[in-house]
Amino acid sequence: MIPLSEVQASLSLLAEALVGQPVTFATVDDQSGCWPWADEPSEGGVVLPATLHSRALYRTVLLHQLLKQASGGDDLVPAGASLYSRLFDLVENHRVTAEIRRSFPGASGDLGKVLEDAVAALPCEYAQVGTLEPVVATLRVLRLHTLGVLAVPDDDQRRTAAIQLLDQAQDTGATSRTSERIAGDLMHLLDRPHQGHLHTTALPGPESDREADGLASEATTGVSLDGGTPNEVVDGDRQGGGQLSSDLGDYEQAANETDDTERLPSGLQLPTIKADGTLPAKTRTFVYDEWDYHAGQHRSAWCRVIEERLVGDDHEFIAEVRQRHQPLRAHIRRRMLQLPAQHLVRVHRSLDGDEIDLDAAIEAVVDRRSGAPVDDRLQIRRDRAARDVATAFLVDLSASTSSPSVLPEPEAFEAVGDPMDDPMSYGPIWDERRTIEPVRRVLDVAKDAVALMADALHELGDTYAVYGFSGTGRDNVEFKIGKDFGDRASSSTWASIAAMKPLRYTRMGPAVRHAAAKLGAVAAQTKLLIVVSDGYPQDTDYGRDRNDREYGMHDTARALRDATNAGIETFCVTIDPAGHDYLRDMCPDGRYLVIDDVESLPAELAKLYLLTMGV
Amino acid sequence: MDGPFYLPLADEASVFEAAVAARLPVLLKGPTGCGKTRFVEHMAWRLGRELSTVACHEDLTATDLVGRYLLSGDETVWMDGPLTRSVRSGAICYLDEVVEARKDTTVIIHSLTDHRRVLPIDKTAEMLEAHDDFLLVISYNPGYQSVLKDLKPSTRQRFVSIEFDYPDVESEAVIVATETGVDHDTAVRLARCGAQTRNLRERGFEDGVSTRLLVYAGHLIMQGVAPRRACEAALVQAISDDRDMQTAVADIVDIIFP
Repeated sequence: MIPLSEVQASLSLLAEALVGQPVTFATVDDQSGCWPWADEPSEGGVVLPATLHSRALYRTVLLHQLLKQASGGDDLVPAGASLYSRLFDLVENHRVTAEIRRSFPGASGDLGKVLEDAVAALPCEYAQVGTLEPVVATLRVLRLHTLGVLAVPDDDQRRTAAIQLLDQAQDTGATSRTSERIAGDLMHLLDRPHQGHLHTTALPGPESDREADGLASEATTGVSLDGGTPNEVVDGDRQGGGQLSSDLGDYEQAANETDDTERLPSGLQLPTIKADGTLPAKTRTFVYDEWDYHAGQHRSAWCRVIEERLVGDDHEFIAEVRQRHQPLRAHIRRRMLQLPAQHLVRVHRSLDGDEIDLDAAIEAVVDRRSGAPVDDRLQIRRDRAARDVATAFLVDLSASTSSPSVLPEPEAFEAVGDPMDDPMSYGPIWDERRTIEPVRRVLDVAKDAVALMADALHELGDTYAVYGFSGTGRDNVEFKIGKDFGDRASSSTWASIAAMKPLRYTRMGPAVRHAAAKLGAVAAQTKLLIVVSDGYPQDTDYGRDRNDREYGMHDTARALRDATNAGIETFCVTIDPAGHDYLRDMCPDGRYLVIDDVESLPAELAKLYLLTMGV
Repeated sequence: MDGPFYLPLADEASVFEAAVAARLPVLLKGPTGCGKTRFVEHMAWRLGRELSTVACHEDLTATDLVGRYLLSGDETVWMDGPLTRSVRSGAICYLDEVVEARKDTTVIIHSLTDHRRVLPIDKTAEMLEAHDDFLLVISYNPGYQSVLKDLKPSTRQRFVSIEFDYPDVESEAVIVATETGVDHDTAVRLARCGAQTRNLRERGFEDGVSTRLLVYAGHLIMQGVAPRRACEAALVQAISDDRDMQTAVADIVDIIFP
């Protein structure tokens, strides 16, 4: 079996290529939660199983769902457990299956395997519809037909007519509108005249539906793969189920009575894929000395730095950053045009060049007249010395970077009677009753700032890397790679930078040493290390006790000084208002910047970089 | 005799002809392999003009374009560069990917692109007036250039700009079929591969699969290479070294071809 996490990155690109925009996947543990194994319509969005037998199967399931979604069927008939919704879903599945066979012939073989797999997963009694209530029996026959089971034993005229209606969805040029019409015709055929789905939405709400609906009582849930944040859970509100849904519940109840062994499909399971868990962990370990300020000596091999590549799936990240900071981005671009011109180096005695090298020409004439061999390298060439700058951004990922970047205005919130509901008790950002913008954390702003600079450096053609650091204790200094020097800027690297999240403490010294070591391995004339943090160095065992600020500060200062001695220019940017107190001592030659307003970090970081580069 | 094949996608040919009639320099903007060079070749043939094409690169200097003194025996001999030759003879001079060249090249073309239409040659102390038929055409791809290599507004605003992009699937299929001889269905499939892959332009390779690459794939198919293998060689491997990207593009090819 192949876990989704293994193929997610390339499938995500395939999905974007097919529909022209980034697609976020939800995942379900059990494949019965999505087409073609699901017995009922799924909520909107692409839902893939956590594991499947092959990548080709993933590709086929993805293709089917994308085509179905792109046709806009969800807008015509919202997913639900009503009879009409289920019929529409069956027709849509049949239509899209035919479209795949027609337009994507290379996927046809895999499509057959997926359908076979879905048929094999059905209970063996599934095709025995003779004793079932007519509507339920028809639904089953139609579903079997969509799965490619041609030999459905059926002599019922109405069911035969239903299959003929269903097959109209396979016509070239059929759209979701065609499916809507066919679903309506099927309703008539089943003596359930349908007045259009608008009628059903006016009927009783989803709660009563769920009570009446024997099949669809569980919420459909899905979580994006970006770490399983609870707010991504999609609640399975079944809007528009209405009376028809209740009707269907009755039918299904009847079906249960006739067939107790029937394995009814349940709702989707809560996802279990977590970014920290099942995604492949590519870690390397490094050991560094640490400077003991109190003892006045290095502690040899004291810290273990665990380097790990980040993996993310937020492919919208860089586009959003560009959009959010459009004026600043344009400003940076204009300023970068003013970067010092690439100087030209005159290369004498060249075979080709802009002007004649007089000294070489005179020598050549003398040589020829004296009968000596003549050197024909007689030109002066002007070569351009390319920009040769490598920059590493080292971002503090300590837990404190999860703080909101902008503190809310207290007067904006009304007093609430129940003290437990007092928004100030929990912090106004968690007051769910209010419609407020998602809270941007300090780290979100820092990621914006670094991504903006990385994007600009990419355009400039410079070499750069984006790292994050945190950790707990000297044995576990976490060093996360968003983009390394050798990586090309691609969707996966931007998504990796987006995947940086607040972790634990701020053991800055070893992180600086490791970043400096990585910079040291890059062949560049100018090397720059920019540390972005939100507070002083701190860890559980970073000094005599947890409140020992001096130890961490001096260790970091020593690491920065060592980097400077190794030819690396360092700069620290902090958004801690108290930063002046310790950065003055920690950073060499005042190479630091304290920012009071977190939101100004992107602009300040850009300004700093350009100043450092001499613009 | 047939000229170079070019399928007009909009009014680019008539705009070009109008620019020629008014002696206005032309700037062609568009992604790699979308047909800019072929368009110029086609128009030169259609107008009956000589065409001198210079593929600009980062070491190309003003001297390379204008000319230089060369040593010949005990003498120095002046040798015209391609730009000077075109200015003298009234040819179309096409500077392909001009922003790749050094900055001094864009400066020397300024006086050729306004009402003066002259080329100053300081080494020969000559102020060369352009032939009536001389036309300067430059091209560049705004997508992938480094910000340091972007075309300056002072240069850009001296040209009539014609923008190019990749054709739609049907038009591109006609181009691929005409250029390579593959059957219509295969050409449409190749064009679909191109169109879908271009949806990934923002994902690490800004240009996507060019029409030129699709034509290469068509040629390979006509040489007997199986379509999937031809696409792998001409498209998948050519566009990116990123493994995930290659897999995604290979998927597109795989599901579109039977």
